[in-house]
Parts: sequence; structure tokens; C-alpha cells
Amino acid sequence: MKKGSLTIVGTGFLVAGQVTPEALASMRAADQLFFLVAEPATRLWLESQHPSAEPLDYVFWEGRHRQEAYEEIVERLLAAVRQRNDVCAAFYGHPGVFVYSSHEAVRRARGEGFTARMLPGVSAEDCLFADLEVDPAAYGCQSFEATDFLVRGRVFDPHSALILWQIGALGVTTFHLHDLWNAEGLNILVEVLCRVYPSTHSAIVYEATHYPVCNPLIQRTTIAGIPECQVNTHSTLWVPPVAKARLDTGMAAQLGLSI
Amino acid sequence: MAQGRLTVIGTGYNVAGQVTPEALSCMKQAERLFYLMSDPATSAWLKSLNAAAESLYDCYRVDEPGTAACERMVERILTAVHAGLEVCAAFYGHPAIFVPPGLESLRRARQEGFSARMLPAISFEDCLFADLGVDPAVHGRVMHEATDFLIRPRIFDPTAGLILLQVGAIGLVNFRKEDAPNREGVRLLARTLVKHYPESHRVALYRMSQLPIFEPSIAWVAVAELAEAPLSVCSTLYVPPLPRRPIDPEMLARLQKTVGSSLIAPLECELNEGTEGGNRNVKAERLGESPG
Repeated sequence: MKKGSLTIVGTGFLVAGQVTPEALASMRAADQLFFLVAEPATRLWLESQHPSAEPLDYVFWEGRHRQEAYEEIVERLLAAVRQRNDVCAAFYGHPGVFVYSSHEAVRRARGEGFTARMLPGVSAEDCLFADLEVDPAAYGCQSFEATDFLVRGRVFDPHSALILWQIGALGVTTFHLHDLWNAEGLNILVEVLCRVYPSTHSAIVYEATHYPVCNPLIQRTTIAGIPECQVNTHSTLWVPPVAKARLDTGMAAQLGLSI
Repeated sequence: MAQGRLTVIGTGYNVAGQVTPEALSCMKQAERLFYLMSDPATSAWLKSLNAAAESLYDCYRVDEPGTAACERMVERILTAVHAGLEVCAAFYGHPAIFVPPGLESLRRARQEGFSARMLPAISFEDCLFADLGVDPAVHGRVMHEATDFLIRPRIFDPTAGLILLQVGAIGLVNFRKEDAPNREGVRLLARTLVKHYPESHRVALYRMSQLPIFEPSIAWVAVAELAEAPLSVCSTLYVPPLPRRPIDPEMLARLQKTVGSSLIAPLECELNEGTEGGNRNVKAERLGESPG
């Protein structure tokens, strides 16, 4: 008798342009394929890869709390695994980044004795690094969800790069179909950033592209200029470091480094 | 625009298991394919894709700093672009992350008027997030190269996950064929970390699987015992976040005001998530510790 298993994969962006061979093989080999993707072309492509591909987007409706929707996804996947199916769930981007249901489904499946694993996918951040041509390891990098960054007063250092996610959805935790542009929220964000950065320091509002023929949206501005940019729920803020951090000569000497 | 074109791509890990279709077609179509790979299986696969594939590994010289090798790689890549060829440079992992010759050759090619671009790929962090069950969006994440983290101290948020690259190679600058991990460096790192975390805080030494049949290696130890943990020059350190700070009610009220009464959601799910976040690390830790 089959045991039932769960594999979580990511499809990256660009429809089928960034899916990895290992993810594709898992999707095709599954008894049941579930998916949550952001646009119709990827959906059509996934449906062509598996005869019984089933979308998970039915759990979202206008105004519903996201957490409630995520919980429904977890239970939908687990129900299929408990019926001893080899289940694959595909999410766009990286399946473990900004996806609560995927990690939780893996944990719950393992907790119930099933085999479960997650394969990495190309994330929105991977696209950002490639499109902006920046190395997050060069000066170090700190990333936060934008609302969380503000309401928990996150600590950060301007000598490393700063990434803020969902700057267009500040303060919003429900699901909405339309793009949000919380311009007033952006003014608060700018006020907080200006406590640390000069208002003229450069910043980039970035949005990865979902389609192979389109270019990513890269808006180069300053900290003060952020509210004037075209911002939506998928927009990400990249703030480059102000300068190299000061060298701790004592530590460098202890490590035998001459810099 | 001058003839000659450069595309810098990444192959991810697991030999051919994580390459994206767009990167694959670039490698196949290139008139010259340069590559820098960490294992012979991946090199063999690249040679089978493109007869004009050429390794950049010989740019390294024993006892020389990595910057000299980087300069040689950039020169070699640019020479082919100058010759008017369609050039692809392939690196393992993500080509922007910790691969100086990738970004540098891109910058220089463009400066000289050639068309140049980079394609994203699976990074070491992508593997870490999948293998350790960590969502960097939940608590935030801070990432540094380990030596850089030590010698240029920065303010960081310990309530975010901390990822330190190359913890086994702290203070090692010159290229050698077989470097032993630098335990003294890790000892200094542990001493720095206990200023920010309790000594018993559990941290993971992570090494991704390089070949499809192998499991990643994940070792959980208390931060104070870091120096005695199993370590390789390629190990990455993951330090789970400390418990969340409370929400600033004033900031919350200001933000709620901006979204308008119809959209007000009192960050309920975030609050729920907060309590769950407490279990979260414990659970992830248990998963990491369980064999297989």
C-alpha cells in the first residue's frame, strides 16, 4: 500500500522559464498536483503538466483574513496526503518565502509520519539581485516585511543593504483583489527611514516581472521620493548601504588579517 | 551597440537538478561558455551541453588572494566578448551572490558598450530556507559574510533570523586547494554571538547537498559550543530569531488610520502568527535534529 507523501515546489517567475528540473519532475510524478500561482499563463502551463492539477486560489476572497485562507490550504493538502497520495503543491517564486501554508504543511505531514520535503525555487529576491545587479553578501543585507518593520520598530544598520517587502500593503492584512497604494503609509515609512538615512540617499522601488517578454519595473529614486513612485502590493524597496562599516582593527588583528 | 554579448547565469546546486530553463538555453546557445563549478559532475554536465565550454578554475593560483583570480576571470570573459561572441558565464548557486567576477564582468561589458544581463538562479539561501523550514519573511533575516560580520561590526536585529556565510573560512583570504576550517575564527565568532544571544541558544550549521542523492547536513548546537561543532569551509550558520518585540501601539494606530476604517484589520493574523512563531523555531529545530 502507498504511504502518502508531500513535496512542495516553487515555479519561480516567467511562467515556465524558471522552474527547476527537480521541481518539474516532482509535479509530473505526483498523484495529485495543487498549485497557487499569480497569473493565468502559469496556471495554463501547470494544467498542461498534470491531468488533475487543482488550483488553491479558491480559498481567497475579498476581505478574508489571509491566515484563515492559509490554514485552509494546509488542510486541503494534508487531506490528500492522508488518503495515501503522493501530493505535490506548487507555489510561484520560492515555495518557502512568504508562504505560510507550505512550511506548515511540511511540518504537519511529518508530524503525522508522512514523508515531506520542500524543493527551493527562484524567489522574488533572486530576481531582484539579478535585475538590480547587486550582491547582498558584499556589504551584508537585512530584509523585513514592511508593516512588521514599522510596527515592531526593527533594528537595522544603514551600512548594510536594506530590503523591505510589501511596501504597498502597509498595515493591510486582509486579501484584496485590487492593487493598493497606501501613499500615506509610505509617508510614515519615509519618516522612519529618514531617522537613519539622509533623505537624498538612493533607493529603488522594484517589481519582478512574471512574463518573459516584459522587463522588471525598476524605479530609481531617493528615500524622500519613495511616495511619488508607482507602488503596488508586489513592490519591494531596496536601499543600498550608505558606506562600508568601520573596521574593527583589533578583531582583524586577532584573525591575522591586514586590511 | 557593439557586437558581442554577455549573459551571466547561475546553475543552482544538485548538478543539473536546479538549473532554470532560461539559463539552460543560454548555456546551450552560447558561442563561448565559461564556468566555475565546485564539483566534477557539474563540469562534466556543462561540457556535454556545449562543446565550447571552458572552466575558469585555472584562474586560481595557490596562496594568492581571491581578488587576483577574479580579475583573471573577468579578463578572460571580456576577451571573448570583445571578439564579438555571444558569451555565457555560468557560476554555481546564484550568480549575483558572492560571485565577484559575475557582477564585475557584467559591469565592465556594459561600460564598454556591450549588451549584458544576468539571470536569477537558486541560491544557497533558497536551499537553506527549504531544508531548514525557515520563511525569511516571518521574522525577517539578516545575512553577512562571516569574516565581514566580525571585522566590520554592524547593528543587527537578533529578533530576525541571522545567516552567516563561510563560517568555516573565517579569516582565510588566500586560495588553497584543501583548507581546513578555521576553528579559531569560529571561536571568535561564538564569543561575539553570545553578546547578543543566550549561550544555550540553538544554532544550525548547515551544508547543502551538492549531489541529488545526498541529504543536506544540518547540525544543531548551542551557540556557546559552536567551535566544537562539525564544520567545513563551506558551512553556513543559521541563528534562529529571538522572541519578537512587542508591537508599538502608537505606530500601529498611525498605520491603521492610513488604511481607512473599511480596511482596518488589527494585525490580528500577525498577532496569531506571533504566538505560533514561538513554536515555529522549536518545531523547525526538532525537524532539523531528527535523523533523515
